[in-house]
Amino acid sequence: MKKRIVSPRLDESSILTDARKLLAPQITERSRRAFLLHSLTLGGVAMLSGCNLTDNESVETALSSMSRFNDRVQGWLFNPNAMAPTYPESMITRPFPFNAFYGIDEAPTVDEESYRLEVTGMVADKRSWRLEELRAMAQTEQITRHICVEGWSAIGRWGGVRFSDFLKRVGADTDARYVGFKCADDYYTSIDMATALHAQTLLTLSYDGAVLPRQYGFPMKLRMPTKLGYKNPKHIQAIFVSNTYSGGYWEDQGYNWFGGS
Amino acid sequence: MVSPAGKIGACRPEPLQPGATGGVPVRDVDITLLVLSGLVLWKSVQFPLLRELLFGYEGARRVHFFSMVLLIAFVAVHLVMVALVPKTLLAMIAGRKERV
Repeated sequence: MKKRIVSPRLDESSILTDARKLLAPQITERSRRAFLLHSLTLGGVAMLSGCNLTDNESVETALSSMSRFNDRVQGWLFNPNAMAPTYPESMITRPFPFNAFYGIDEAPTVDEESYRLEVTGMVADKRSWRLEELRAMAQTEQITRHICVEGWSAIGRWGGVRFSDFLKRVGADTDARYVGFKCADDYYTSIDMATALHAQTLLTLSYDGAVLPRQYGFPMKLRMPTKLGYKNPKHIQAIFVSNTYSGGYWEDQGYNWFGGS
Repeated sequence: MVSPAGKIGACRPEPLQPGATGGVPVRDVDITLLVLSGLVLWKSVQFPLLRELLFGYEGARRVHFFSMVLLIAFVAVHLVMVALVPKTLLAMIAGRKERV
């Protein structure tokens, strides 16, 4: 076999001329066949999308640390106190959709009498709360848009206790990094302290003027119009303030942890 | 669409340029809309003016969808062209007419 000698000064135009000499007859004579062959190659490349890299543990770790890095950069870029838009009552979506990782019939039923909201972690007052006590606190209302990561959105009317009021009342350490939630449907999630203290973050006890119904998260949900739906936990049973990252149900499966604007 | 009369082999169609976009290629308008509406979907709370300009959150979703469809069609047409005439890839990347 002859060894190919590559000249140090490759002449661009001569390469092009050679390439055209090779390609020109193929284009004119076998263009249809070539087109089909090229299409097959495209199809082959497209099939690569079926390969799953994330089966590998180290890939998973790398991706999630990059996602958390994105969260830090966004936290630094954006204003955590920016307000989500509010809407007139006429724009409320009726009926407001039910959405969970289970069907509507499987939504948990929580008994009001025996219900106690557990508050733990970096808080001064760790006693449990009954629903009546929460209803006795100052209530506010909002008509905001719930945006789901699936692509749909709906406008609803929620009422309850401003979460920052509640955190102050229990003497939470607002310098802590996270507030976590555990729910009656085995859902769990955690949020950053800045969002917990946002003026529109609401410990929601009512929907559209009535007691929060079972399908929307009785006895209470955390409503954050600045975050995507999966960050808004329903059927909350325990709240904890912590400096330890605790992830969440969807977040541990690869969803972005911050998940909001 | 009429290509300006050129030398043999200088068969590169001019980009789609209707007067409605003021001489700016439709592709550039499309990509700009795609990025702006994407910003609204990503951080709707942080871009209130942009959100209102793009007809609210749901409006921005539709703008994003249709500009994406347009961009995919743009890419598809060019891929077909490269599959048929591979040497056009060079012209597409270099952004100038072939000289033969």
